[in-house]
Amino acid sequence: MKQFLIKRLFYLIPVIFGVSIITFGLINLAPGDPAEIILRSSGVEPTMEAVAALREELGLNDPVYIQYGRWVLDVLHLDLGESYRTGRPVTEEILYRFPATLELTVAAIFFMLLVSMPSGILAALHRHAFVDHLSRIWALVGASLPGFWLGLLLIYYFSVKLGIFPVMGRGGLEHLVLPAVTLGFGMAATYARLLRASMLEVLGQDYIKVARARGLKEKLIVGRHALKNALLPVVTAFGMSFGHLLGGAVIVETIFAWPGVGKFFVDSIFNRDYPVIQGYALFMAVVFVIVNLLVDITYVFLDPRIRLEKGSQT
Amino acid sequence: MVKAVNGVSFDVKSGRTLAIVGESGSGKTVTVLSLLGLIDPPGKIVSGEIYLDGRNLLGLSREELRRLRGKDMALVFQDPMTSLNPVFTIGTQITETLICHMGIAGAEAKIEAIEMLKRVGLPHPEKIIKRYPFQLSGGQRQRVMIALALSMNPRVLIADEPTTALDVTVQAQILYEMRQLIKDCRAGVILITHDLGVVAELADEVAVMYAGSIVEYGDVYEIFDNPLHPYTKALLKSIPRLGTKDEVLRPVLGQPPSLIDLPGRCAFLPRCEHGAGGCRAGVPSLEEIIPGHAVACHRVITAKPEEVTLRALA
Repeated sequence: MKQFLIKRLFYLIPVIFGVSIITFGLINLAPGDPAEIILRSSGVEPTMEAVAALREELGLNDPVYIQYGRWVLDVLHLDLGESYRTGRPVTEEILYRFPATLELTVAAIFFMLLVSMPSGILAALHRHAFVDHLSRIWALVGASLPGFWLGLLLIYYFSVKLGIFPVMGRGGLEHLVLPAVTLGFGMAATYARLLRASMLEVLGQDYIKVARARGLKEKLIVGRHALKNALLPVVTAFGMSFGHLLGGAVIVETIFAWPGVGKFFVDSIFNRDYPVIQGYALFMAVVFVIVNLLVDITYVFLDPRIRLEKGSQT
Repeated sequence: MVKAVNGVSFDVKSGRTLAIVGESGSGKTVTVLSLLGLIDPPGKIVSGEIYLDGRNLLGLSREELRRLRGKDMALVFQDPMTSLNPVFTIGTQITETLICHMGIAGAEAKIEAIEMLKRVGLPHPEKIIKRYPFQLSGGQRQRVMIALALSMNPRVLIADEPTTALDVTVQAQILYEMRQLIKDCRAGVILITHDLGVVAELADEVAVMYAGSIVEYGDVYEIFDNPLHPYTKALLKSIPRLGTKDEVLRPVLGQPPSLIDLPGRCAFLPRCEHGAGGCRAGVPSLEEIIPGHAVACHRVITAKPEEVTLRALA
């Protein structure tokens, strides 16, 4: 187990290296001159001389690899530069807002599990019955609804008409419900179907038939023997779709004025705040990689065949 | 509607072994799964009676039947590779069965589990219970399955091709051990196989199945020495023998019929060497020709009993 972790952490290095190159490349490929944008945003007339002076000051006249090296060195010191807009360090800005995004994402995952687990299992157990059809229709709707539309719809009915939940902002649990549902809805639908398919396959396995022949209770067979096996592909898929969740968070945070990194990111794009965009992309890549590492660790706990790959054979 | 099994009837006495022999798809497995009440939907038992110690199993509720499974009726499935749940240890899978049927505590069940594994000749049982199925060899797994099946001293043991998936050397060992264990626990055994060597080794009585029906039924010596049904004869002839100069394989020519549309005549007719016009006169029923030896073949039934007996004696 320890070896596995060390190996996986070691793999992080090339991944993050690759991400850093792409992230850095983004800013160099993006149209417009950062120096000019900085000057404009700070209200200075971007004359040729002023731009040239700032370019020299920012080191933009150096060869790209030197610029990259300098940036990487800063990044290694956890320095992502300063936001053009707020003038505060990007690291600080992101870390300050990240808890809000984490809260939203975790709540969305919780909602996703709460809905998709029972509906996936029920649909598998009552295949082609009413529950299954209902889950199928709901999955189609859930996967097709764009997040921004669903969010507006929920606000209209639950906040404006019924007044149950607040329209926007972060606060107590009641603030969390609508954004979390909006973010988790599509995923819940997809995962319910994924779990159904996975459950059906597992339920057809010999060991399930043998478990029944052993006289085990159906509850134990479905909830333990089948589910643990059925979760394996679902967990794998979750690692991959976590990126969608982060992307979705950007939209949801914007709709609900949720003060997370996603909303900050969108605002930064509109303002061409390059250090923030760059820093956010790198930060999210690291988060994504860490989540996938966590997923793999979960996988190891679910499936002994991975944990004991080179274990003692008799 | 497909009748996978039709008009099958047999008795198994305590301490005796009945072998059900036939090609793949002849309905052997479906027959025993019906006994356990484990036919997958939409499959079902249309009609019939199953008695265990005078109790009709078809009259039992699902819960009552579940309590019988694993306790009074145990199953050893054909493939030990797929019969055990890959994500739980051997110990977990044995103890949960014990806890389920005996209502004993975990620690007690563990001691019992070690005892059971010792009984089936597995070395270091205290280590085996901590292992996962993939860490054991095929022979070890099948011993675990046998231990599981015999743990409750079942009244009936159903062994569905228990040695088919094993190495020949391991097969012999397992067969030997099974014979000892069966003798000890005095269970009635239903052995499904297409290996006539296994039949000769273990069986007291033999039922030969073809296209979902029993075509010949009798004492094991009778069946081997005096096969009456042309299919049984062909099966026996198809066994390759060592030491004879005749090296030609003698398969049973042709394909078994599709069960979807069984003809209203003898199902074996297209492959029968002795087929005659009279064979089209309806499906032959299983009739006792000699005491303890029944056959479903128009030709044999219409022949004079004396003639059959004489031929049997010759």
